[in-house]
Amino acid sequence: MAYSFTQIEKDKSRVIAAAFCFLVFLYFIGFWIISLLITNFYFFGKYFDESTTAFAKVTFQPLGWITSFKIFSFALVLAIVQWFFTTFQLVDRLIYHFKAMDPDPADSTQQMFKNIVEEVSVATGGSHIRPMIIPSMMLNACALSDGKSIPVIAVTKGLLYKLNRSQIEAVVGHEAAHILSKDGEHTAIISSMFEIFGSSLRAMWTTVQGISDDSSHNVRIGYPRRSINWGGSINSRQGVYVIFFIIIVVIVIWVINILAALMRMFISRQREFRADAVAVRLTRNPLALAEALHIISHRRHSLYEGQDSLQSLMIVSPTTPRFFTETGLGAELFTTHPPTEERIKILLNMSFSSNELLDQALNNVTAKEEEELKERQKILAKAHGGLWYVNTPNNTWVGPHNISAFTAFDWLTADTLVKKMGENTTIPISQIKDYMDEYRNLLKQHPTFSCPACGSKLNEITYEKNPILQCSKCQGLLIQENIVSVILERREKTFDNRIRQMAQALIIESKNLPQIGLSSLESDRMYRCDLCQNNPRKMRKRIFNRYYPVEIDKCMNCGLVWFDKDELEVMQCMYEMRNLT
Amino acid sequence: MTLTFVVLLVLVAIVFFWGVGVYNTLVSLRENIKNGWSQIDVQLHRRHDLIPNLVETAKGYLKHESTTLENVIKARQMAVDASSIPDKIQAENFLTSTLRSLFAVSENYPELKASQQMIKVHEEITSTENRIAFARQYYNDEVNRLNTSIQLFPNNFIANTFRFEKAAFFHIDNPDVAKVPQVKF
Repeated sequence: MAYSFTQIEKDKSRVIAAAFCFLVFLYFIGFWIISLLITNFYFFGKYFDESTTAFAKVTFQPLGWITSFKIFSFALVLAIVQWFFTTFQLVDRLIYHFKAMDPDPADSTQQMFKNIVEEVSVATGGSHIRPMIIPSMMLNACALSDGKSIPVIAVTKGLLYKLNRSQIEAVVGHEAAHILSKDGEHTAIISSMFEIFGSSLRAMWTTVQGISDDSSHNVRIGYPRRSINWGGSINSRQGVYVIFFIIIVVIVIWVINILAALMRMFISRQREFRADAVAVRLTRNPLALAEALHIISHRRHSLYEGQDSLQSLMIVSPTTPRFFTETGLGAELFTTHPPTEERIKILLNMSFSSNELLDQALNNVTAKEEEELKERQKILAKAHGGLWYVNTPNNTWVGPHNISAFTAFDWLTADTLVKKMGENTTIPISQIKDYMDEYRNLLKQHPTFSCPACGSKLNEITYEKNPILQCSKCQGLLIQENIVSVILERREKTFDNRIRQMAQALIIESKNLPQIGLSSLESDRMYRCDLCQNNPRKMRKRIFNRYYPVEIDKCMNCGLVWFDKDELEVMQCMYEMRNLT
Repeated sequence: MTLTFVVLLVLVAIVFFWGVGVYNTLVSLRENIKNGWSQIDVQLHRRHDLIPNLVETAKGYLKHESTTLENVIKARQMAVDASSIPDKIQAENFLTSTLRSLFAVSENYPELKASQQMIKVHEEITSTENRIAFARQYYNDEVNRLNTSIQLFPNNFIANTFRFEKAAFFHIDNPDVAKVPQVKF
């Protein structure tokens, strides 16, 4: 029987509530057990060292009701304080972390996204949700809420440009479901509770490391080894017992921590199922959500931009290797997200559809969209005055070009003659209003740039439909950081063999690369960023990231990126190869 | 004696708190329904406000389709003027059909379709249509929840005592939707 979304929602809610109660119980019982161990420190010592009289007479002391109550109150206060600090401006901090921004009113896609969020909020009965955009070409989305400020639904740019309207709506529905069922708040409560165990473990670990470092250090330079003196009256055997006791406590904490982590992941997976069900309740379109999940999960190997601690916030886990997202033991225990295949299966079941139909539909959609896009471009070109030929200083005609491409010609003056494609009358370019507007905008946007490598003039060109600056001499490219990912997404360019080989080599290299960060590479060259002339920070040579170890120079101030000749193409080629395999 | 008393007290307390719980749920459902109704109204308003904009944008391109445009304007005026709920529903349905024919006509005018202004207005209209649908869906869902829960045992005692009544669904009187599909063998 097909499982209805209301049924799933109910069932999952029950399971989640039970798991939540278990975690709260585990938290308090953990405190209780540790307190019990500590109060009976001497009692357990008796079994370790029978000879000492100090331990002999001690009996086992159970914790009384009042003591237990005190411990529970202490644990509660601790959790509340921790919760307060965890959630303090949580949404704002996350927004900062993701570099999320409000939708740009000039961008029709982002405006559509804003509309979609408002639509879904109507479907929830009018809850306030703030739409935001994450400038990344990954395909992902997340819901941020801390119970205090207005919840946020943020999607990546990549997702907006890759999915169609109803698919985006399904994704937004999924995220709104997380907000409706207050998943973010509950996660914050749980993580602030178990933070104390985790941090005490870390603290102990660093202490142990510190002691061992300290002692080995002393031995090496010839000082007598410092003995650990516990109050002076305890002999060495008792000293060993103290360490033994600490190890026991650590193990108890560790077990609690592991249990809690497994439970949290379990809850997180159940929440994803529930959010899918609620998304269907809100948008009544299980097929669109299945399509969206399918597209997203097949495209996760794009730019990995390390935000692993936040992965339970995302619609699909950004870091889990593909292996785990397929069914299997790993998928069952150690992930924050259930296998996408399973989620898709449930959704397809709801819409009485199958995997084959889904694939078919997706293929049709892409073909149709491409056709539509071409059609629109044609019409747009016509509306904008069509394609034009332009008269070069050598009195030859080049073209045809779109008006906007003309800004790339540095020899262009207001008197340069142009003629429309298919017509013979020539007019000076200054009479074309579109061009002049564009030119003025350009001047406003950019100060004059010179090539950071060789100092010659940079020309604005349109590269894969994006305006970027190219050096007329060395062919290097100066690009804004956020456009790089947009360019990677484009498919218009084809690559020759040389580029392909270089990309292949880099892909292999990136697999063998150690876990290096984005640290600067040692280099004798240091380019100047023209945009930040007043700022002393120069452009640094570094690799793009460890999945794309292409050498670039990046201004640490404004994020302008300089690619030497071919480097961008190699990166595009790598990107394409990765997504094909 | 005391034991019986305590047990009785506990039972009464349980029943009391259960009653309070049910009562509060029913009240919040009723409020949700009111909220849902006003949501529908808000979205319909939004639609009415958008239409002059749409007509203004389309006018320049659709010089030969003045009747279609006039129909849209007329339908909008009717929808704005409608006061009773059946009138409203009828007027909105008429407006929807005129909008549909306007968009169908505009398919023949590529310049109109490509115009940035039109793309914007079209997106707004699409969004508004979705909002109306979602608002209606929310309203109907909440009505469904209220109607179910006041009939369920033992909630019906509370519902009857405090006179919670069934709410009416928001139906679209669209013959295409209402018609039972005919199956021929």
